[in-house]
Amino acid sequence: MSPFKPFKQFLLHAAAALAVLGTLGAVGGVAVMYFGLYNIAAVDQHTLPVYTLLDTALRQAIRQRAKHIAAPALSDPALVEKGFVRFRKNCVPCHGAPGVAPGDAGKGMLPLPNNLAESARELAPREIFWVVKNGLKMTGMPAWEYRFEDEEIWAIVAFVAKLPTLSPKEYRAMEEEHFERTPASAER
Amino acid sequence: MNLPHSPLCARAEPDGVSGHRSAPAKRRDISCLIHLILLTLLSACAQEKPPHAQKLGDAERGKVALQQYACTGCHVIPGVVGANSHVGPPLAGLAKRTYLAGALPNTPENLLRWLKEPQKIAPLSAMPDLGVKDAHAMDMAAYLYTLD
Repeated sequence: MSPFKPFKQFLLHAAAALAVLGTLGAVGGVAVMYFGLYNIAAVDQHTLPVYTLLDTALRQAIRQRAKHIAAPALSDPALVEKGFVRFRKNCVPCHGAPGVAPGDAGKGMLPLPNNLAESARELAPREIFWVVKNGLKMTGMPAWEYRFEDEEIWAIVAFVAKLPTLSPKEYRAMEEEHFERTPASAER
Repeated sequence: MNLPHSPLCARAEPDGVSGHRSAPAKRRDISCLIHLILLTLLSACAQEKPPHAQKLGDAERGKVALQQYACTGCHVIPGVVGANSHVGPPLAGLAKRTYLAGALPNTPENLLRWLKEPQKIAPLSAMPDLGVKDAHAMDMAAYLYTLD
């Protein structure tokens, strides 16, 4: 009798058990989907495991894809100003700004659009650029590639990078200063 | 024993001018005493709850409201999944906080005021007015006061 026989038998049993468990898992997964067991309502919080999975996947996907983007210099005040105008029109409605609440559409979303002053501290400029340009599936974040040239997106990034340094009062002053010089109708 | 303030004991008055009590009257006295002790214990239990918990809203609905008014965008709120942000102060232990926003004594009235009109109280704060409706503020406050 071969000394390997018990081991072979063990492997066989293990494989059978894995196959059964795998099938049960797959059937269970399909059942959860098909019977609509996971509530996709925005007023229903994700469970912590689902949230952690989605959030980690999102962060890692951004990091991987933005890795090789080279950011230009972003400190030019003219660039920041150009970004501010686009930011105010296109980003504030969902994200808000220092001392400015997001609009109703933004507030109603799950995931909630991030506070960008915090994003600017957590993400590199190249990562913010990638997100703005490409958008994020299933989050409500649109892609802006087909609305803005790369240079305009970098301008937005330049302004977002400045956000953590702006007090609500300074942000309001920027608004007043800018829109005194430029009538609202001339806004892009 | 004379306990005129308790309606339960209204009949436990001395039966006659002599002050002597009949056996049923004594039993009434004892049951009256037990009632009083129970009442005292009950009211002591009631006082242990935070004084604000009753008149506020529904804590479970409050959790959703905290998400739907973008509170989760800036605050760490224990028990609310995805509220991981450190833009503003974390709200853990809010029930034990002495001052709200570093300025207002922590009472339910002040918490409701702060939730509804933070800019009126602290115009320099980065926390904007979020258009919180009365009923939603009550629900939020009910949830926040579970954080101790």
